[in-house]
Amino acid sequence: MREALTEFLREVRAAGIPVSLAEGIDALRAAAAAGVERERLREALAAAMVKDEIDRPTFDEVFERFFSSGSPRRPKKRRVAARGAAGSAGSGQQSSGAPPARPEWPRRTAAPAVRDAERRRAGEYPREVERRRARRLLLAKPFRELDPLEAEELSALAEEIASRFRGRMRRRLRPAARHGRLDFRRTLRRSIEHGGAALELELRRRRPGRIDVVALCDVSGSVRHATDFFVALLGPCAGLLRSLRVFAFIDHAVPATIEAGRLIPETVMDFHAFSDLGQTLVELEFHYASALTRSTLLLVLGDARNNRRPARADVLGRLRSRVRAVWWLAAEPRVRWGTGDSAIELYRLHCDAVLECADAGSLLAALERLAR
Amino acid sequence: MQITEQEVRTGLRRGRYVTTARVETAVFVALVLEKPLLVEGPAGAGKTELAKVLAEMLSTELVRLQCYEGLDEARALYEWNYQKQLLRLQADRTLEAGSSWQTLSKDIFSREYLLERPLLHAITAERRVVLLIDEVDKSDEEFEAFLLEVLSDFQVSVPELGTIPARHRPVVVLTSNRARELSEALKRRCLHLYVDFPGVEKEAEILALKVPEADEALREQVARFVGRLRKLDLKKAPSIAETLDWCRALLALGIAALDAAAVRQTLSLLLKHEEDIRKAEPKIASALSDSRR
Repeated sequence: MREALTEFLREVRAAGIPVSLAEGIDALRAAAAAGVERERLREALAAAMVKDEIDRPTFDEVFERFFSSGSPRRPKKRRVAARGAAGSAGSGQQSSGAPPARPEWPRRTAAPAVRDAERRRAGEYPREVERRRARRLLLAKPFRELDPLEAEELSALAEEIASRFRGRMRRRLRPAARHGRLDFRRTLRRSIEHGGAALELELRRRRPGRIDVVALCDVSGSVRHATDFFVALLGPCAGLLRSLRVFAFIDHAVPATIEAGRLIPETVMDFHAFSDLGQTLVELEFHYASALTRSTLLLVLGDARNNRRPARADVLGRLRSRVRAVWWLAAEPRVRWGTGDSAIELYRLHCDAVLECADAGSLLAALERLAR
Repeated sequence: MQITEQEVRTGLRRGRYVTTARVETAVFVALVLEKPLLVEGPAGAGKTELAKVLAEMLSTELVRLQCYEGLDEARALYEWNYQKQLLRLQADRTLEAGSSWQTLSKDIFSREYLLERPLLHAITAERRVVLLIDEVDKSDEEFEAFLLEVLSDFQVSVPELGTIPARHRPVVVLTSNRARELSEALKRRCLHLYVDFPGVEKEAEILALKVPEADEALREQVARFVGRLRKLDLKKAPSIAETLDWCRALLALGIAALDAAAVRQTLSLLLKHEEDIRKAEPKIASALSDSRR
């Protein structure tokens, strides 16, 4: 039995469900406890192996295949071969004569493989799992591949995420008073109520977060979705930062405000212009340098595609010397950095961090770093 | 732990918890392996109830730790009763000046001055308890990491007292609505169970148990109608508790059979979002005609 289960475990892993060694051992113990009655065996194994309902249909499929055809020790077909490396596809099925070559087991799941399986299985889950699955796919989808409908879904999702994100930020930037230092004066004053015994300690509240943020957001078509998502998350957090200034740019730096999760430029912008970050940086330095101080964190959100205009990375270098740090949130996958008219390699030299933010999930992760 | 699956089944049934083979097996395995059971599923599908029934089944106490954003160790594990310590110090001063610092410090850092929070209570209880860690997805990542430590060793270290090992390993049930992804490490340490809404028959069975006053035809209709509602893409699908409330309300209003007017009048008991109500209203008639069949 143990042998069969070990074999089964391998099959489950090969199908893309991550099962750790410890979980494998749990599965063996669970099977020993539950016995061989089919239904019970399946549920016991699933409880130990499947930690995400998204994987359940795949698990059931493997279970059916493995334990259906006669003796469990000899699974008749190994469809895994077809799914695995293309090179070994044929060899797995040959059964006559020589022992069949063992198909190559695909290595432990890479996340994209799971996602593929999820895509295939649209509509097979309980409603709530289905919703979560869709959400996960949406967060992992590159901004540039979003269609209008998905973009709309993403902005609805952003709203939902934003409130939780704000809560997290608040707790990190302003820890609860219980961890603060003793406020001696207020404690003494309270102690009078209790005849001089300091029964209630008053703690000094931490001052609001010390970060000044200046965000420079590309609003041209190519990164529009990224900017929308960024703004929807950052907007509600404005009150947690000491200050937040936002500039929108395509070929000029335009001061902007965030209202109800949307970016509103203060003057009219030419949305058909070609991106020109060099010019934008020059303007930022010339007109708005007073916004940049030693406590400023300068965030630049954009793809650094400059239409082969002067990058003026030197200006960014000078700006960096004025501020605490410069973070570049690159709205493009890393593989495309530096290709074509991308000037990111030039800017990179003057950034304290360049974060890959090609999809909503990674942009969210980048923003979480604000509170660290 | 010595228990048979039959005992689990009858125990759950005695606790009036209508369930599936899937739930029974998972609970049984969790009890035998003495592993925490992570229960996931939509809100209102009976996750918390499962832990309550489990406590009843094992005829023991249920210790509940409700998670929320910002929950920290002081609220979950223990805290020194500062006020009591202070009073002790002051009382000491007036009674006798002679007591040495050593006896005093040993005194005020003893169990008497420790405020037990749910986790510590579950570990130090006289008998094995059921520890329900409710909505663990609502807690912060930091707290989850801390929880991991407690769940793997079942011991707690209080710097002033030393390590307190568990007297009895509690039966641990965690529930989650997936407000966020739980860490892999936590999931690895738990057995997993997904509890979905019951099907129409199961729900009718639940109604029969909990609202026996309603006659069978009404129960059937209610279960069917709610089942149909859950298939719509709603913000918040009606929970089992809401189904029960609705059925009781129908009885109180003296409605013996569902019709469109009655449903419209009472729909706000099932759906709590204006949007959902608007979405469901045009479909009432068709859902009803289905539920009569």
